Amino acid sequence: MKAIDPRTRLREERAREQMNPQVLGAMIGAGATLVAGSVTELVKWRMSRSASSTYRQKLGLPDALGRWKCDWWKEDGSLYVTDVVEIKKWVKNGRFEGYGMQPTLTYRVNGEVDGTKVMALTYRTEDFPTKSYVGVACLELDQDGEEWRGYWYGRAKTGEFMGGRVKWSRA
Amino acid sequence: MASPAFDLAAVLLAVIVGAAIGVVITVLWYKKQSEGFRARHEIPSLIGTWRCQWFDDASSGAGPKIEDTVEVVRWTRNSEFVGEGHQPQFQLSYPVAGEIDPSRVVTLVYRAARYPFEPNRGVACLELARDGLTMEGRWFGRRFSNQFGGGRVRCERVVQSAA
Repeated sequence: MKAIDPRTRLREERAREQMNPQVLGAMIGAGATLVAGSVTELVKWRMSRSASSTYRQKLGLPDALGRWKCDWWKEDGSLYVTDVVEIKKWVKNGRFEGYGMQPTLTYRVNGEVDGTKVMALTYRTEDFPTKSYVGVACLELDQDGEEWRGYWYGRAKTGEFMGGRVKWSRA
Repeated sequence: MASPAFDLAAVLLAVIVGAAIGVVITVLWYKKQSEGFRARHEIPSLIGTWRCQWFDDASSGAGPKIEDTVEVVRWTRNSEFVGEGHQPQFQLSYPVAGEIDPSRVVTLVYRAARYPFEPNRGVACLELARDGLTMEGRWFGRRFSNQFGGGRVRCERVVQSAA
């Protein structure tokens, strides 16, 4: 093992002592930035959740969260598909996120409910944009608040554009 | 040696500068990500002004029920965009938000100008033509009269003539 000259060691120790406050300051600065960033994100998330809840209460928005059994009909009145849509969470104000499930595919659903009890949403397959199975729907809550009814339109599995009536009922 | 007040001020300044840099990086990151995403999937640009005709299935006439302009203002994330519709006949503007995919299908959500206190809102799904100059599809939503319905929609890009 190589012996270190005591004078060199002394110089290094002095240099360390001189550097320490700067390094410490920089570390405190970096740490504080990270903490501030994390706290900001957390506060934003909490405020967004709270604001969404207040907004929905104020406007008396219906609760769209949960599982819905959905019937999608073609324009000629024949049933195109029946599947399940699960609305997972409120994002901001009346906006929500969820997904739809069919035996062979899953699709993402993004939408919004407003004070007039209308739900406007877009859907697209999970592997978007590789396979684009995409469309829109606009539904209205019925009088007893149990079902959403409206219309959908989009590009189907076959690649052609189609649409028709749609009905969502609690699954 | 620096005073504690100076140290505190330096730390606070570092936090503020760090946060500002974070915001700028986030904005640039989303912009870059959107550009990359659109270039990778050869997504055509929608930015610009579109003259749109909104037909109504419930209307007996062959002409459009509403004619207005929709201005796609900017890309937000990946292939998502935001814009604004202008209806000069009713002197109102309304916000639109949408997304386009590589196969040129555009999904659009529009809201009333005085949302959420007006019923007029809905969705549209359109296909952009290969030349990027027109798009056609259908809309569905609640009309200003509170009735639910839909119809065809056709938009044409307003090409600015060179002066």
